[in-house]
Amino acid sequence: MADVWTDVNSWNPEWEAKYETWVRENWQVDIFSRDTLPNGQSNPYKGMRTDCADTVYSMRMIFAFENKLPFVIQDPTSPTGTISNRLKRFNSISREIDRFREFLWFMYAVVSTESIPNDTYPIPITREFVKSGATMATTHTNHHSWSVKDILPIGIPYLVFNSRVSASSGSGLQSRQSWPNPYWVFEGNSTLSGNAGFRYWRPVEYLNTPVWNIPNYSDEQYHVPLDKWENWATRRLALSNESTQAQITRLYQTACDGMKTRVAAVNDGLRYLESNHACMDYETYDNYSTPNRDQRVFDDLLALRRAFKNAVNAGKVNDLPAGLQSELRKVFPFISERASVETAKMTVPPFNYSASCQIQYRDGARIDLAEAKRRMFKGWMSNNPHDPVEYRWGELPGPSDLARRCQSWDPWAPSFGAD
Amino acid sequence: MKKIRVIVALLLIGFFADYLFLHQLFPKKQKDLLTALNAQVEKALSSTANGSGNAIVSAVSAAMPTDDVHGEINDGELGGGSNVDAADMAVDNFKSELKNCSFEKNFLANNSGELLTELKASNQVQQDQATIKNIHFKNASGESIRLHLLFNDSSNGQTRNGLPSEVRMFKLDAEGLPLPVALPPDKAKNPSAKYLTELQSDGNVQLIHEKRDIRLKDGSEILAEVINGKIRDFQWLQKQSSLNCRHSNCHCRK
Repeated sequence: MADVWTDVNSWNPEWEAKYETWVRENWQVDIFSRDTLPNGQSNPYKGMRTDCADTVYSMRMIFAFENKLPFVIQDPTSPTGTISNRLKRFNSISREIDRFREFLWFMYAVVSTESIPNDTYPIPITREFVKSGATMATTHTNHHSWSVKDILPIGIPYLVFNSRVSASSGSGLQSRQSWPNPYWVFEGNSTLSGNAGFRYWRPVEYLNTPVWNIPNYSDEQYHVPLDKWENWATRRLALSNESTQAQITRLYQTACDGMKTRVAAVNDGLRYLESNHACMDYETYDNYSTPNRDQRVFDDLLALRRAFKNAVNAGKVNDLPAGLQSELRKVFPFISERASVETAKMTVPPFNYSASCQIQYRDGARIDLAEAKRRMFKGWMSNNPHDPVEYRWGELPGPSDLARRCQSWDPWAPSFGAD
Repeated sequence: MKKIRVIVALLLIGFFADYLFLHQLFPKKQKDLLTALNAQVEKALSSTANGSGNAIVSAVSAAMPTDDVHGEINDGELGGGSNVDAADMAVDNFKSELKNCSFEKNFLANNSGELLTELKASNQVQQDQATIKNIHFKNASGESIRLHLLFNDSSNGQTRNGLPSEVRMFKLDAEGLPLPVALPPDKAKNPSAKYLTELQSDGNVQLIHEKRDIRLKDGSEILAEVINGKIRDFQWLQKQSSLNCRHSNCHCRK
């Protein structure tokens, strides 16, 4: 009888340190899509398709597999069982790597964002605990999770993650070097019971035990008001201050990545609509709408706007490279005004062929970040899967005929708050 | 005469073996175990004193010899608590820790279940919803089946009136571990009550395990993990303190 792999090592502080280094150096967005590994060998994980929770678990599983360490989680279907690499189900498969791939698929069918609290615990917000290899999760309102690839010296997380797996989604993962909006992370429950925020893997002897018994269990991140959470966590994790230029460049890239990855998500819905041009029931609507994703991109654009406004107010805008300054002025043409006023005043900007962020959302339709932001802030970018492409991407203000005729649920709309 | 000598020799060997095992080796083994146990307890006490909240019981459990970590405890054992919970069931400090944690309130409850009943009876519960539910049953063919229900809010903010956002179905393999059964995706996501009933058919339910999130009107929250109607883990999160219990073994953190 063969285990999935034989664990000959044991988790201890040395292996945890090696895991941290491995995640920082090897946990890349192309882990499941690249042809070869950095050492030149063919990539045995190519073709795996993961959602957000699968991505988090894969990070720990792959390291455990490659280093012959045990991998054990609480069986999510039972109050007492565990599932580990000692599973015998795949013992008819002779090659270890093939058994491991089957094990990964099996685990993806079992775990979820709701199982993450069984296998992790909330940690103190210090660099000793919030580090490469940890995880960050939202409450079940938004049921999302991220793997922590690194904590940058400026105290900002470098997160690798994925979203919903659909028929057309590929194996590539996504990343962001910025904070997700704390109001979104802790939405609906900012207390310990929401299981959101930063967490680390439970030692195996603490699986199936009460979370409060785990050494270093900490609820401090739940005692910080959400309007102060991001600055508080950054201060706790920072080794150095981030320059204005570095901050704005980073936030610009995050917003751009969010807009670009929206293309595939919207296309899933468009493909469904093409073959089913009729009103959707709630379940189908929920599968193909994009309110969470749109909210995240909107939050990222607002964060970029705040950073740019701070730079302007502090007289640091001339520290930025001329090209970046020019792009930012185009994205935020009325930066001294409130975001809502800017949105009302902003007109269609001329397309900049040299813009560093261009989004091609269908054949012949390419926009830069300035135009994408204008459409999103106006509320024209529809998350409603009844809408065809010109409405989903805000070429026209909706709703479309079909969207008007059909029931929709909680359509997303921008809310500027104090910005 | 020779026979008598043999019998005497055998008796002497017997006495010697008895002395060696019972009075020398076994006490040494016991002493080693106790030393390990004491070290763990001292470590736990020291952690508690430092505020990390380690429970002594866990340390005792951790020091006990264990077998393979992989596997499943029989569902039948869970009605009154599984073996792994025995240490927590042996301690009963619920009332004293509740008093320690609930400054101004006087409760009559003797355990977490009674406390929840008391809170509901006095109309202090604002919301009570499941976040996870596992249903173990045997179908008409005698196969063990598990339904794993997830209660995420949907991306469009609908709570579905107590229905799960997803159902996953499993059979058990030879090791008693879950074996996924593919369900139609359009039925497994946001399943209807009718579909959930169909999946259970006329199954003989053996275990219901659920995690509940209970919000009280005073803003505090209770997390309860319930197995066959009995609360195993209970966390009452208040602003300045939390009452944490596994069975009747409780600890108030301030």
